[in-house]
Amino acid sequence: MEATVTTQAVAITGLQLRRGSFALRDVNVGIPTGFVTGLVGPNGAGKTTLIKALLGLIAPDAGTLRLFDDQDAGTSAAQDRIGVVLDRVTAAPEWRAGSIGRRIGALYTQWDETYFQQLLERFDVPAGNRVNELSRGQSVKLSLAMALAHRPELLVLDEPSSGLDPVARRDLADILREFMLDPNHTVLFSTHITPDLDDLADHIIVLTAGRVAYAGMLDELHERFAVVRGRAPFPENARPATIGLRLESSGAYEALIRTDDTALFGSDAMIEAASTDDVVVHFAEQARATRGGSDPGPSVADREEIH
Amino acid sequence: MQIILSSTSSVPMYEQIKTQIRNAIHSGDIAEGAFLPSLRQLAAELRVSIITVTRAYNDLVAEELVANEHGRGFLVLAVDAGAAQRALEQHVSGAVANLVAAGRSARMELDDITRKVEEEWKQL
Repeated sequence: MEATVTTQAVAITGLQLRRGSFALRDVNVGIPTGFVTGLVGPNGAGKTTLIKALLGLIAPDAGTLRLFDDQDAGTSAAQDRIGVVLDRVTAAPEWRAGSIGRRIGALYTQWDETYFQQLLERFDVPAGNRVNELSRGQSVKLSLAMALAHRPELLVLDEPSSGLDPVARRDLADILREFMLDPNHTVLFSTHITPDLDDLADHIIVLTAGRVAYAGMLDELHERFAVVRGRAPFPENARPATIGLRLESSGAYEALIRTDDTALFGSDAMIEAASTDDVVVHFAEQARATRGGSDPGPSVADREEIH
Repeated sequence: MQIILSSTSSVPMYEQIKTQIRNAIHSGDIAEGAFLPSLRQLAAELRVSIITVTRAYNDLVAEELVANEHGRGFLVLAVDAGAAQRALEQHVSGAVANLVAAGRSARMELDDITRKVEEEWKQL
């Protein structure tokens, strides 16, 4: 391996965070330095809440979020080392793109105004346009330029690819790959469009209903999970091994299983490698089933949430 | 060395990368003592994840074709001439099997195929 010791850019332990009816529950997960980690899950799974917690924008009810080994989330020293791309540009709508550096650069110790202007030019963001005059693609690229111009070690992107056309999505991936040429750099990229992570993410965190369903290497996810489809009768002894089992009225079934459990199904069942989407969908289905179908009803108070 | 990847092939990306680098080493396109492109450089160029290239490189290390010189990169080792020749011949055998299968499905005679091979040979 390239690095003999894997360090964690972010280490989250025992995180509990309740917001209204939604809660992140007992999240224990690390984001390794030098790699691209994808954060996936259906809308409402808690991706944005987790990102806000690690940026220190929301305080957890319990647990710790440690950045770069020794810094707590939300400290200015930590902020200085993180570049952030959220769903909206964090600048006043009437500011002109090219003037943003002069307004916010002083917030960072390493703001590089020349680099910022170069990035705007390279990303085709018209420096004379106001923030509210930019297209979705230009807004994402402006956010990226703002994030990169203060020379961060960790880049955190919340749903950057939604609403982007295929050309802009490829540009975004190329910019991230360029950022990753430095082995001390780390990317956390949340999305509900999982194909955007294929061939980009090294690691993946699958979040469903506030819990981590899977965290590990992306290619291991494809090796460890399989989708099984078969006709009636469903082998009842295999039920505990299934994740997000779907039984049709015809008796046909579909479920996610661990690759080790394939022997539980007969030879006429069809077993295929699981895609990232398969894993997300079936873990979400499982979470919904175990919560009695009440997810994600905003008015439902889930008494299980706080342990 | 140029690596061309197919994104629709059933052969995994790391396997495609590994095979193409192995062939380049065996055929001498990458010389002994040269360094492979850095993991991150190659990942960015090929638009694949860093782990994918890492996996290919680790396999090449296990095959003793390259060595991981920590901090300097992946160094191409001396090729065992016999092993290289066998690997290249295996590559040719695979191509011939494909050629024969394609010829048979086009209902060609052996003579026709041989003639085509000769024509191709002379053109190069």
